[in-house]
Amino acid sequence: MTTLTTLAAEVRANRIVAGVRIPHPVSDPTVAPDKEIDVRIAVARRALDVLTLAVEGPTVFAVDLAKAR
Amino acid sequence: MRDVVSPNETAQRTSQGPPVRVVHYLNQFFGGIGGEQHADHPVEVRAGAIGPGRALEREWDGAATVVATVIAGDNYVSTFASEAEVAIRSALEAHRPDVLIAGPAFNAGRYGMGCVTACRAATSLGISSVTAMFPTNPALAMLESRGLIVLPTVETALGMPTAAKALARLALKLGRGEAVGTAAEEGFLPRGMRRDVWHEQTGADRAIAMLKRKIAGQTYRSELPIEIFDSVPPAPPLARLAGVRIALVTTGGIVPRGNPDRLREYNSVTWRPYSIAGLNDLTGDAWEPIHGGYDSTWAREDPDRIVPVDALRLLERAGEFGALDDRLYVMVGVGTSVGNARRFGEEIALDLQKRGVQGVILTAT
Repeated sequence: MTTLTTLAAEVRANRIVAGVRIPHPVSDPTVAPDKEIDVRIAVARRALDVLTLAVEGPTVFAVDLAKAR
Repeated sequence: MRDVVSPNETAQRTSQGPPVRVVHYLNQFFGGIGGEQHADHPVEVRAGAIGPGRALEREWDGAATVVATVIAGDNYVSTFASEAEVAIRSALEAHRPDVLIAGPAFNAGRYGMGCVTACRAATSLGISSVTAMFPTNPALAMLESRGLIVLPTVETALGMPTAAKALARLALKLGRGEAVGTAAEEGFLPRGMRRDVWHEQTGADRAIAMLKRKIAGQTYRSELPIEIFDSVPPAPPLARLAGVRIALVTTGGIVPRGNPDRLREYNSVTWRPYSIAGLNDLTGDAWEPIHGGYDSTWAREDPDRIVPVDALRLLERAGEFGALDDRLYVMVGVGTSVGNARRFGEEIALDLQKRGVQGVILTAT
């Protein structure tokens, strides 16, 4: 899970989940404090989900944060 | 800056002293003991040059001499590497050479491993060493081969004359204690090492000069070759998340407050596992970011923003996967050399495997 998805693909990470921002890749401090955990849950759940997906090589997966925010 | 010649390098034409003393390592085949049926032959030391060693001596024409040849069977040396290393080390202690030459091993994997073992034995005694083999010889994938001076050869012994010439030249230099240039200058395989040198022009001047040459269509050589990264076949997907043990790994440098292991903020040389057993949350009073490469304001407030322990605990409790492993693996991914990063990955993967972890979430800043 990283915001630098191009770099991750370049060094041949195979399952890449696109992060939020470099200094907080799995969270979003700009949302209301009580909602921030929902962002992290969405990102973590996506990472778990991606572990069950077959890939051929470096593949970037987005996280749908619309609902979490 | 690896393509710059160090200033003392040109002034090193030493006068002919006594011949350089060489110990040469060969497998059972090139050592004249026999073929595959003798591959279990233990380490044996014979006086003087044998087989390829004679070709080396012809190149030297008296400037160096093979004082002893160490021979070991391919099976023996690859099965009993540590015993072989001890035996080679005692041969080196007995003969005190100026340099060890191993091989050339071409594309023979077990022979390549023997050469790596011999070079390691020499290194452990402070004796210079050089070997030669095909660049994708499996022995070069071993951790043990890192940092060794390896000259490239073709795949088969047809390349013996060229390999002998190259080995003889570089071994003479090493044996005389002369400064060794860069991989590109000396023709050995790049070791991923950098050396600081003084240069009369600043980096800016050199970059402009390089750009001008490029624009003019002239040849130029980068001082910082682009790394070619290994391709790793993707791990098969998990069939289900139920019952699966998941571990967290991060390059974001989140450590217990006070950084008890003094992990570096930059140019990481090690990783550490930290226990998150029973923790529902990484809090800012127990954990802190020490990564020197990102604005840590948000991570300092809540380290879960880098490593989502809180979210994964909730998902674990909700039964969305088996269990979160007790270990959080921490690295600081800034200015870290690819060589070190590769080593961290290999070491962490072994530990994960031992702990029965089936899935890993790595967060990177």
